[in-house]
Amino acid sequence: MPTKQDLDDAELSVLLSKAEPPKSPQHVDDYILAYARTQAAASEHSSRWRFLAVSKSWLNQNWFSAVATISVAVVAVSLSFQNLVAPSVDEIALTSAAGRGVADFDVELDAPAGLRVQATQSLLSVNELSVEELSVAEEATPTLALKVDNANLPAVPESLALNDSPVLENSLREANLENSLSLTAAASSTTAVSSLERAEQSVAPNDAIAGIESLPTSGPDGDASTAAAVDTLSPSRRLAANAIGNGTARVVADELAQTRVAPSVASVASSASLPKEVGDIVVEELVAVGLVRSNPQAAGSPAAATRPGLDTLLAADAAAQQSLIEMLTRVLIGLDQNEIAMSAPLEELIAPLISAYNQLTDEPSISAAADRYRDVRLNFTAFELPESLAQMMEFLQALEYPEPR
Amino acid sequence: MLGLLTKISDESLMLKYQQGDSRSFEKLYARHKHSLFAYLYRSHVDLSVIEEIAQETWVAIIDSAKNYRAAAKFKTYLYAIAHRKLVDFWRKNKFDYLVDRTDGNGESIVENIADTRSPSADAIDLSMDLLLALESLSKEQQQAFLLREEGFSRREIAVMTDTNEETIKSRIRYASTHLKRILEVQYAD
Repeated sequence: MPTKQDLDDAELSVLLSKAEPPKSPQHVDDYILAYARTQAAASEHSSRWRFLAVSKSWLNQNWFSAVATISVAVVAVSLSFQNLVAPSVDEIALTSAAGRGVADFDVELDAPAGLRVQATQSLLSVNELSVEELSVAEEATPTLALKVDNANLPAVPESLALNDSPVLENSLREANLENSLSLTAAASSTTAVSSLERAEQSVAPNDAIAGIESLPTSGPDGDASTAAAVDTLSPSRRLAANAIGNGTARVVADELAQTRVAPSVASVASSASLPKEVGDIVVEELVAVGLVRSNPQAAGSPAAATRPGLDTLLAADAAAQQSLIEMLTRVLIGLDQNEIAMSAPLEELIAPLISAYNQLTDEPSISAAADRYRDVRLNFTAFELPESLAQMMEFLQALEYPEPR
Repeated sequence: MLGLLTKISDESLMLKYQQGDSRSFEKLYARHKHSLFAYLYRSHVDLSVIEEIAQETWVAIIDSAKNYRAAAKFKTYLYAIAHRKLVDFWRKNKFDYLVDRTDGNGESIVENIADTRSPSADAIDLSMDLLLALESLSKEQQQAFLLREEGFSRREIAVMTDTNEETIKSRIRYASTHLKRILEVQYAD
């Protein structure tokens, strides 16, 4: 029911509506409608590009998220490309060597007659090898099949561990052994097979077996039988044998003494004080792969491969004999003697040189002699000499006890 | 009935114009141009000023069409703009602007209406007397009354004039009472 106030308000509204206001003028209408059409056309054109405006406003508000997303995508793509590039064999080798050194490699052999030995022992420390020792290793390497066995890596003495890949690399470069000293252990499946094949070709199975069988056993009996032999060893070999200090170690030294790599291995063994078990395994391994032989003149030995040529040359050419004697005199005795009377047989002239070499008992003297030999060898053009002094002396020792002809 | 159902709302027309449909704006303009002009006329400004304020109001609607959102009735939106234009005009002229409404004798109707009884009251249209009486109100009371006559609720008027609903209610009541009293006095004789 309407109140009096409502009625009064209704009366006022009626009165107000009766007062006819002026209408909107035509010119105002025209102006407003024309302006509205103009703006409508502009807005219709701009609406086509409105999505761009929306994108722009979104970027203004979320630029940080956009930048972060793009950055993550770029990093992911770059990492993917890096993973697609396979590392080279050299990179694998150096990476593997950097972690544990050559000494940590597991030697696995497919030797004949059940001589399959799997030992995880320290063989060589490249850090401690001299140049000529590395040269020996260079020749010996093809007969070794090195394989990384991460699961069975034992604790390695610090002195043998090669924890610094640059050191390894430098050593290799100094000895020019980058191409020959294969440390491609990480990718060794192929390399190991080929190396084993070469080892089998170069080592007669019977020789390896004979080498194993000829090894003295450790113990009191072994000590007695090898004591005399130790006295006849060269200085470095005696040093190694004495340092090892037990029967098996002496056996190791004795065996190593008859090989071309004896100085280096014996030196390492002596400095590291290898335990008895290690010594056993080292000998077994070296003999099995033909690197160490009880008979140094066994066929297939790298030293033996060069020996017949030099043997023949020395036997037939007196000038070659004289050159060799003069060169070794300068290296071992220090005399710069150019004229040596070759009245005596070659063996008699060599004997004092071997004696002089055996009297070198300390490492600095041995190292100095080796350095002198290396320098002289570089300038020696008469004929090809063995690469290291140790090889040379080994060769001369073989001449001292010539095989029956 | 069918025409009512198919009538497009003001808000829809405005949204269509936002998309570039100028015909929608023409329909919208046709719906509100006279009522807006009447509201401005009743607010007691000069005709030239009414045209100016009406034109500025519609131009403001057009310019802000791209940002328009149908959050409220379009009519409320339109009158709120017009009211602010009007208030700006008053403030610019320090509220002392008076429409020169003169009678046939050249005398001001406004000056006569407050304290003198019109000598020719019968000749003056009652509606015109009401318009003249509106001028005696304060601007706030006048706007509240006129906006209510345009159909806005007290809440909507409060929003448009930046006040609260109770204030608008009070202003409207005072305006009605004052206008009736003036008209009763004029026609008492």
